[in-house]
Amino acid sequence: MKTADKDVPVIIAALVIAAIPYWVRLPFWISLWCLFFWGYALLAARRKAPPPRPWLRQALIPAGLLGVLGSNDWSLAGNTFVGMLAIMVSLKPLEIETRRDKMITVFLTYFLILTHLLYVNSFFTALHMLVSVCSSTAALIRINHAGAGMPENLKLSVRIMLQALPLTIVMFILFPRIHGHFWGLSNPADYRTGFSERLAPGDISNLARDNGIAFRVDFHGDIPGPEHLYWRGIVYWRFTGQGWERDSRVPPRRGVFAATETVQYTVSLEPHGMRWWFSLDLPESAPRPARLLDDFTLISWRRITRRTVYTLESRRAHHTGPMRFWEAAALELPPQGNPGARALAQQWSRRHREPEAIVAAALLFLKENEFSYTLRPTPLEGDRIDDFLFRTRNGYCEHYASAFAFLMRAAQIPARIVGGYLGGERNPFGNYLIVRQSDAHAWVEVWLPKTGWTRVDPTSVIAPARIRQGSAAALPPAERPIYLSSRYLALLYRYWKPVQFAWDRVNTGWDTWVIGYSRSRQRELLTSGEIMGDPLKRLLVGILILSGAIAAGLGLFYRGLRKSAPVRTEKAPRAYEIFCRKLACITHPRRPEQGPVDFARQVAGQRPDLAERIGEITALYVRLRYGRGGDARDEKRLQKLVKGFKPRKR
Amino acid sequence: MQATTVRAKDIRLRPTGYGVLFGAVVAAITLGSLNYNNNLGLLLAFLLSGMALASLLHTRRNLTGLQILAATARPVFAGETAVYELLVCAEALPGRSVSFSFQQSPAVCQDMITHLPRRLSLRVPANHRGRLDPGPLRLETRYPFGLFRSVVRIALDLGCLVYPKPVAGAFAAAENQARSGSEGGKEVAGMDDFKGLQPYLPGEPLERIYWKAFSRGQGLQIKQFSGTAGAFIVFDWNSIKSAGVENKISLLCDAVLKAHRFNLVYGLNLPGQSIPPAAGNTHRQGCLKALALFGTAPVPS
Repeated sequence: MKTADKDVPVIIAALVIAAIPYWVRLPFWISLWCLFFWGYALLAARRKAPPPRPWLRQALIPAGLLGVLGSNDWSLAGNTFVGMLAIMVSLKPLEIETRRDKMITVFLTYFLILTHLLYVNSFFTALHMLVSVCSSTAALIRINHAGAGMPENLKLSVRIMLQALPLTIVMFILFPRIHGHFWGLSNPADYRTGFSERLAPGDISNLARDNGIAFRVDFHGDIPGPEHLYWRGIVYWRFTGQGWERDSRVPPRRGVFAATETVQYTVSLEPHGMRWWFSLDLPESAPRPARLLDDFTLISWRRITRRTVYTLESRRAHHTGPMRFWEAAALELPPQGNPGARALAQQWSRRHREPEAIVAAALLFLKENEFSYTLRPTPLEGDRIDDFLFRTRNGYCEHYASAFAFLMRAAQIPARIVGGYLGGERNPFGNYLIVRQSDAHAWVEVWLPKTGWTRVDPTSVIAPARIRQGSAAALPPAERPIYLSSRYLALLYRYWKPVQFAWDRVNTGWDTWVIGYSRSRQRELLTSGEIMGDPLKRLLVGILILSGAIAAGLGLFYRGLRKSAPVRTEKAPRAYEIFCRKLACITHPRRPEQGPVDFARQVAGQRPDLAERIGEITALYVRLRYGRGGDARDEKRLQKLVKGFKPRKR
Repeated sequence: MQATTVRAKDIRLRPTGYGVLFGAVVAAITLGSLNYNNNLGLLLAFLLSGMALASLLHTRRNLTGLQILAATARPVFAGETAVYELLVCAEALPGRSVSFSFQQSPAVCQDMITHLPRRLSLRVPANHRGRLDPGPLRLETRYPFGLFRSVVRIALDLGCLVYPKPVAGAFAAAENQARSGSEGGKEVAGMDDFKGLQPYLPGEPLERIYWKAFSRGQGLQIKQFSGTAGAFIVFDWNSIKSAGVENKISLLCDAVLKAHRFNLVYGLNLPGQSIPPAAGNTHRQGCLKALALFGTAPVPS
């Protein structure tokens, strides 16, 4: 009968660790399947169960693959492939016979680690990756070095990982990246959609309950006051009677505008599946791969399917320049509908000559007629603007923006609706702003002769708290999120909040520097500063960094080889005495005339399991005491070895 | 022999088949991650390749400083297995999973602890008489990952003497053909008459120990016989009627062994070489050596 294969448990442990994230991702039965076969392989390796017959193994593979296909609706999606990999990996340990099988199983484990990275990129995933690489590598060492114990293997695994670290970092920074893909694919990461091409009443209030993060902003200077934090994304031009639509024919922006107060900031945009970028009012230019449109929106060439980091400069405009001919669209209204609103607007335009006065009159109308701010507006019927202005008089920001823009157009003032976000939460741990989906907002821009396109936010008249304290605080008490309405929860929330902020800080740093590191960022980093401008110098610096890292790695490596002046102190005999006392507990004590080597041989004969440790300690002691001597490090090692030597009686 | 230390520059490093496979795995991870623009995947690929590089240094270092302190092999007869005894030691760094082998021997895998000499034996089949040169000693390690193999070959110049394979049954013929020496002369140790007991000295044939005395607690004693001085036999190459050089040598070998066992005084006459009659272990070894090396190489003095 063959003895138990001690490598198999280690390999299976590495597999289990690598597969932990899949327990949430894959169908439950696959996890059970994996655990079952791994458990069986463990038993088989200990010779407590017969190894499965080859035909059964051959039959299990197609059965498992079919099962995976079936539970994924027979489609070849990313999850199907991961499931298939899991099936293969679950059956592989059953046929471990040779060293070759073992090595290949460990290589498969590395693949298993990779597939998980394709889905989730959080900081935790990275930690799990490190742990998993460590355990798989320990299994690899175990296969190639049968003599050592598992703690020793893990220690060596960590050591080699640390030695590989400098090179890893350098390669990560310098390795060339590509834009786009080698082959076609859909990104497995799903994304959250905020805005769409159409703005209909109810769209934004649906977002108000969504606590997901839209983007984060890192200001290069101070964070501007809350009244300036209007993040524009889309401009809605066309009124359809039901809602507003974006105009896809807006030309790109040319020329500059008179402005002051430049603000520089870096946005890290979460994937939203659409093409627009968000920017602070008003952006001046767009970095690639986005371009700036004439309505001051930024549109990317590609859909944003992964986190995108970009740096922008925005300015507060004095005057946005003359009105363009195509901007006449800002006056268009359907020929019919909403007579009440039209009449009201015409009444204002007859009474006031200045457009500013008309804007003020409209805001006053909203303020004085008991409009209210709510997430649950009364449903609108018929002519929606009229119904809202004269009957229901409650709504969310998109209702106010929509009605206000209609009134302005009816009064012959060019107006358009801007969709985006308002405000954001400052993270005290990182001085950056977190903008959530619940910060979604819509406001109006009117064209005035004196200032050009001018922002008017009708919501600010109804619910001034919206601007300063965010959307949750502006809502009536009954509609506020539960953590603000209940006193106890509010208290809890106050303590929980900093934790959340701190965690977000860690994750953001991670996202910015590791996950968001792209070709453009690479170029930015390598060309930043004066030294890096010249390509020749850049190459030189790259070589310097690389060789520095290699030298550092080698230095770490050969530290153990260096020898300092030998010393002889009394530490070694004392350590040896302790060692002998420990041994006396498990065997006959050392006779006075017995030399260390003799004694070691005697004990090793009785306890072959301890022979190696005993031999090591004795050899070191003999060298320190009677041989060539050693340095302080050797002494320390002897003390450590003796301290760690804990023989157990049999 | 002199102690030999493995130096870093003697070590040859090569990737193993698994190393190539591992490279392919890392390349696949890199390509996939680049394609998905997945930085974490790239990080994994770089970490793995960095670790492979670090393991390369570990593999190389694993052999550095190993010492071959001594190597010997006792003579064997053809058809037996020559056993080379090595004494090895790790000088400064431990050597893990080092396998020692000669070209024809199965490898012996050994963990080396610093400053703790280890004894290990390598078995090489000895098929032909003569001096068996096992070739250079090969030290190989794939520690720690099995992705790289570092190999060093050490020329030890270790000849193991292989005596001819004895072929039995020809002794009587040889004795008959033996030429008797001159008559008279002084008495020498022979097997003719029992003479008395003498204390045993190491090196004397075990067959002549007087075990009865030993069992009575009188110590090891040896039976002494006396023969006539000059009563000796000489095994002559030419007097053996047998075809084939090897066969003749095998017959002579058997004769020498038997003569030694019976404690005869014998000599050996080979073409171009003759060994005067004598007895004892040293003489036996000399004769066997002469037979082993006959016709293969100039006889060393």
